[in-house]
Amino acid sequence: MIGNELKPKSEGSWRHLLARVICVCVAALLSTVLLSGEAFAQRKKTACISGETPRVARYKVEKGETLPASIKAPLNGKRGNAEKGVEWMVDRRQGNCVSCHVVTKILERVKEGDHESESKYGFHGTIAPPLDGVADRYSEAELRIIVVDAKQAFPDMNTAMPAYHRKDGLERVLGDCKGLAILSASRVEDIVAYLTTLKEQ
Amino acid sequence: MSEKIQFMRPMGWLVALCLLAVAVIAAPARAEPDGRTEAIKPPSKDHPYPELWSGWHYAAPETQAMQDDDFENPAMVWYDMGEELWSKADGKAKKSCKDCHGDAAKSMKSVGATYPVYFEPEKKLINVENRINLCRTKFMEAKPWPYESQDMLAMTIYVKNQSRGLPVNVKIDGPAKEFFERGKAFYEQRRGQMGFGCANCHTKYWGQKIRMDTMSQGQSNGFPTYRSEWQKPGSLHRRFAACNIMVRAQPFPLGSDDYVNLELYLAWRGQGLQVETPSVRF
Ligand code: HEC
Ligand code: HEC
Repeated sequence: MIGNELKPKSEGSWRHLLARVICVCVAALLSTVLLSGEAFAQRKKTACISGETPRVARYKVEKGETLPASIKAPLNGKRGNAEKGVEWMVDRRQGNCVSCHVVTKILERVKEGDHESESKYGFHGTIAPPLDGVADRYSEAELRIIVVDAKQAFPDMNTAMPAYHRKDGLERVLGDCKGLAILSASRVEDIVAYLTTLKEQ
Repeated sequence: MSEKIQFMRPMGWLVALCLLAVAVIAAPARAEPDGRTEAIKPPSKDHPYPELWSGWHYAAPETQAMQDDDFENPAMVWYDMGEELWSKADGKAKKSCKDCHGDAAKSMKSVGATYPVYFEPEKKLINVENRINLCRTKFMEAKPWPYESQDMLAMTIYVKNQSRGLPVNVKIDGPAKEFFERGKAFYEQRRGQMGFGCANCHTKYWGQKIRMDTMSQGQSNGFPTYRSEWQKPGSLHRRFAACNIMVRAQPFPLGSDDYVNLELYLAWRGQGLQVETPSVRF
């Protein structure tokens, strides 16, 4: 009886049917929207995550020898693989370090007349100082903070270099990149391992 | 021997003089610097650039040539569409742009060089796209065009092209000042996972290589721009969004107030460059 009272006055069975049809339509519409949203998110995800999810590791920042900051211990507890480091440094969606820095030893990997190796290892930018001999200038612990968070390594310079392993203090981060680092801990270590080989003396 | 030399001397001078005369007559009148092959001076001392360069300067020679020849410029297809739309009646009022504005070559002459402008009824800035939609909804009683639609791009190109060759000359004082300042703050603000502001790239590093690209001053004088990457023309706001996404920042809606304020600030950064709509980029 109470139920009856709650019903709209003129409820007939055809109205029921109509309501049902509408419900189904709305549900179908909603699910396509949600699904395509999901697909969109998936697509975006690949902008920020390729291979492994770059969660930010805990690390301890201490004063360096020549820089105001350094990180002594490897981010994930183990030293990286220098050869892999090169791959992340040239990968446009990973470090893309060579878009700003010249690294002569990486340029030397371009085989003459081979477009594939040129587009991979070539075309270095001129925005930042060349990285040749960088291991003569900085310790491993300092190189680590430069890659992790250049803002802490060069606090007075308003540096253009991105912080590759920091998630805080960033504004309007694109969708699924939120809360993640640009480079995973192990990839940072791979790059640091390569940088320590860049000696000229 | 000496006689011969004596004779050669005045002859030599004569020839040289003739050559000089020919050179002077044949040489094209030296054009005013337009920021394309010769930099122009910034409009004031407090300007962020010591010299102004159009994005044209950094484009590949083939791309430059494509922009400069109206028959080769792929965006001119949209210009033609815009020209057609100009005199096409639309909406409940059954009016066309032409019914109110007549000959676009006259009535739209300076629009591309002076927008965005402060718009008193709405107490904010409007750009050309917003102005077009205002006319459509208010006077034509027609539906507004979506920001990046074919029709909107066509009309914007047609309107701005009427100012081609005129120096950019936006007003940043009076009621526009507040919005100009907001645009400036936007330009400096670092955003995205990479933490870059517009200034981090375009103020400091123009002319430098960034991988395959040469960073330009990020000037707006050629928009809408045909990009081969897009396979069609795109609005200035689409370029803003592309630069936002490049640094993994959430873009703002096209046509939003944030982007229109930025548009005014950007126009001032290129104050004095010539309008080049529609430009062509890679
Ligand atoms: C957008 C530009 C940009 C990118 C990308 C970039 N850097 Fe840098 N980097 C700089 C700038 C600029 C400096 C110099 C510090 C300054 O003046 O702000 C710098 C400094 C450095 C230094 C110290 C060099 C010296 O001699 O003092 C190292 C090492 C370094 N970067 C490594 C890297 C690595 C490794 C990557 C990629 C994972 C990278 N950078 C990506 C801009 C960049
Ligand atoms: C990481 C570097 C970077 C950042 C940050 C950046 N841009 Fe760009 N921008 C580029 C590159 C690279 C291009 C393409 C090459 C060129 O035309 O300079 C470009 C192109 C442009 C163009 C087109 C210029 C032309 O002549 O076609 C405009 C306008 C522009 N940027 C404005 C902006 C604005 C506004 C912002 C901030 C919202 C911004 N950029 C942030 C790198 C950047």
